[in-house]
Amino acid sequence: MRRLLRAWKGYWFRDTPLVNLAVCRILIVAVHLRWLVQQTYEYSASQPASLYNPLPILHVLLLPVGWNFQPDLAFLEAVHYVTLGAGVLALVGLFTNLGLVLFAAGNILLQAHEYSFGNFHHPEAPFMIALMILALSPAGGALSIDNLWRRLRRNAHRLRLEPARLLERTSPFAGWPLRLIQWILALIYLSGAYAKLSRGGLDWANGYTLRYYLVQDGLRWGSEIGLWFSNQHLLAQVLGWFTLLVEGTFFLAVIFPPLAWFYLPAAAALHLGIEVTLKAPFFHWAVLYSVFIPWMRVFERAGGFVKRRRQQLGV
Amino acid sequence: MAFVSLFIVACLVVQAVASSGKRPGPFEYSPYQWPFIDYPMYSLAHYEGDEVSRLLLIGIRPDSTKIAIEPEDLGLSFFPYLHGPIRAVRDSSPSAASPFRDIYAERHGVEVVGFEVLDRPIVITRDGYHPGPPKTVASLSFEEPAAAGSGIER
Repeated sequence: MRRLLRAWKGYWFRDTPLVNLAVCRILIVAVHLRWLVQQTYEYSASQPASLYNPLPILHVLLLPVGWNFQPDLAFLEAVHYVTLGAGVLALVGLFTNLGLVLFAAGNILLQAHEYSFGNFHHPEAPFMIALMILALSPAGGALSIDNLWRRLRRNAHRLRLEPARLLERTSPFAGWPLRLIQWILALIYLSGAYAKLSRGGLDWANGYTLRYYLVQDGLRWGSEIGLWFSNQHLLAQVLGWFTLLVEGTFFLAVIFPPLAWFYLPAAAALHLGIEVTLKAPFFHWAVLYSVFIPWMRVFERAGGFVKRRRQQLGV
Repeated sequence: MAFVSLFIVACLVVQAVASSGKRPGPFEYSPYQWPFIDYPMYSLAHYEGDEVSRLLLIGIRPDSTKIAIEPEDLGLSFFPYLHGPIRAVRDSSPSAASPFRDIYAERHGVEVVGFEVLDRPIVITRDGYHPGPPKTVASLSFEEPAAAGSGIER
């Protein structure tokens, strides 16, 4: 039991550079902020009360104003602007955790409301989970105004200036959020593969399946390129097998990190293809792949490269 | 550390259960666990000759004439149209369909006494795809129509 606990601690709570977590915070919040700015609520606010069937999480978030409260447009817009403000705080790292908690809660409330009228989609769900996870993490421990302020106060207190050493700061709590988001992504892809294999078996990759969906969504959303692909039978077979391979074995990138060099571009290409042909907006998931990237090492190598170039150029 | 460990386990268990597509009791339908959900989109296998459904809601007036009702006629986008009135008619549920009858009457001043769901399928073949014959796949009556219908108005 003790060995199991030690292994658990060693996996989830090993020292990790805070910069790795901070870069992911900035990227994920920035992409989601950009998405949030474009949202409008006239459609869902104009839906009749008879169609309102709130998701459980919406009931919970609206509890302070009433279990069965149905938000109107003014309420949704107020939440929208508070959420935007919280997102900006989370992005720049000022009151980072408070900003992240409000950003996550506001986004979940707005999206859950939209999905409480029989309209339900998948692209936002992993972002909501990632925001919840980041809200409970030391995501403001680096690349943040909070951290800058903390260092300034410390320097003022000691009456001496210490170098920032941004890349050297680590925390045992900086790794678990990244690894948890990795596993959530792996479980999500596994869900896609499991559904395909349990319902259709290997026939899913027979070419007709993919062509069927390309015709269905190509006609539904007016995708000319999707309709063109729907006539390429051999290509549809190859892409069918590629989809099953990537979704079914994506978890290997979590267990064997070097495999991320294959799985991340492959999954991003898959989402790009889906977005272009089926017009299903999943490509922005690629920003969640930032949790796989050892940013500190990237910055160190980039810094080393710049240093060498400057030496070569005699600058 | 204990709190974080509990949170990690909870997230993984809830997502794993959701990913399996099997949901207990009150969480029978996927969105109820949102944002922890399964991803079964595009998961059914299809074969040569399969038909891609293209469903259209048809309203039946008191004089039995039929009228095509598109999503925008009800102020709906595509998926709420599919999951709302189309599903209600296919489930033969007058209580689920009646709000859409009322919305249509309010927006267009036209009374309907029943709905049908018309499928205008597209057939997938080895070499491409082509339209199949239209067919009524479900119908629902709020009351008995007076006489036989005479074509669909648009």
